[in-house]
Amino acid sequence: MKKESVEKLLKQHFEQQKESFDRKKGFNELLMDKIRKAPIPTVPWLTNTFFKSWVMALCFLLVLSTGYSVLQNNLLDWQQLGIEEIKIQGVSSGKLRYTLYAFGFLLFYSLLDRLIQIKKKTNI
Amino acid sequence: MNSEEEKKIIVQVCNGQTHAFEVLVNTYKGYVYTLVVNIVKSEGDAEEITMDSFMKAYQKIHSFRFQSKFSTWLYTIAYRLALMHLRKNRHQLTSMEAASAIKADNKSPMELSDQQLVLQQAMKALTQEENILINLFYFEEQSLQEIETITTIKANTAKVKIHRGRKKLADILKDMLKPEEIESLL
Repeated sequence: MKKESVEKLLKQHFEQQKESFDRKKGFNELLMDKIRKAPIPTVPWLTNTFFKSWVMALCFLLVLSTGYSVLQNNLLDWQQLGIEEIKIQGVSSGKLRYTLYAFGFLLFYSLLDRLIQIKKKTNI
Repeated sequence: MNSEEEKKIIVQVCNGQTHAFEVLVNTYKGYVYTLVVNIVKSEGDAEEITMDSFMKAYQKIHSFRFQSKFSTWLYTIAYRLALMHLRKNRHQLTSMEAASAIKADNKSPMELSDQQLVLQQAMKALTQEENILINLFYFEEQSLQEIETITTIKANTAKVKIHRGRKKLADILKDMLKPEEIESLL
């Protein structure tokens, strides 16, 4: 039996399976309903859970380590302390600055993520 | 649908236009279903996996980098979900049981042509892998390289298996069909 004949029969066979499914009603409605209810897909690098977790973990580490240094040096009375004083007591102003940057970044990151979500929702 | 139109639709979906995804569903649902039903051998399960495949594709559409055809990417998702389903259920039907299951699910023998019935019988002789590869190559029109991406079966191995499967079918069909029926196919 020739190759072409087998191919033709095979195509007919699969085409028949496809058509029997295409004729079924209700699949699209159910799927699109599920999709509408599902969370909106977002830019992976921005909302990727793995990436998010690492950024969060790094920021928390920075905050914790600064907090520990502050506690260790009895520097809880923030009102009376200027940056220079903290530096003298053992917490560098650089560390404090980076902690503030970390907070700022987290805030910016959350806002950006939220804005993208809102923009997508209004596009539907 | 050409690749440019497809790209436009994917960008629209990425921009939050959910309804654009329905165009992709309409284009590919039958193909995805055909691939899946030949793996899981159950119409109900295949329908569910087809739906899950589209859901997953929608959720991960941002990770589609246009480095392959959208169909190849979608079939990879469907293929993996179907295999996961098989593993989860821990029962892989033998090709004999499977073909009869599909037969029971599909049209009654009265609605099928003699040639189709004969082919259904002949398909039972194929292994599941041969069946999937033949489906991807002849029906889903995927190249050997794309088949390697979808199934992780090396292109050369796939080529041999497709050839072997087709030859097996040809031998069986030659015995089952009359010469005039074979002629009519050409």
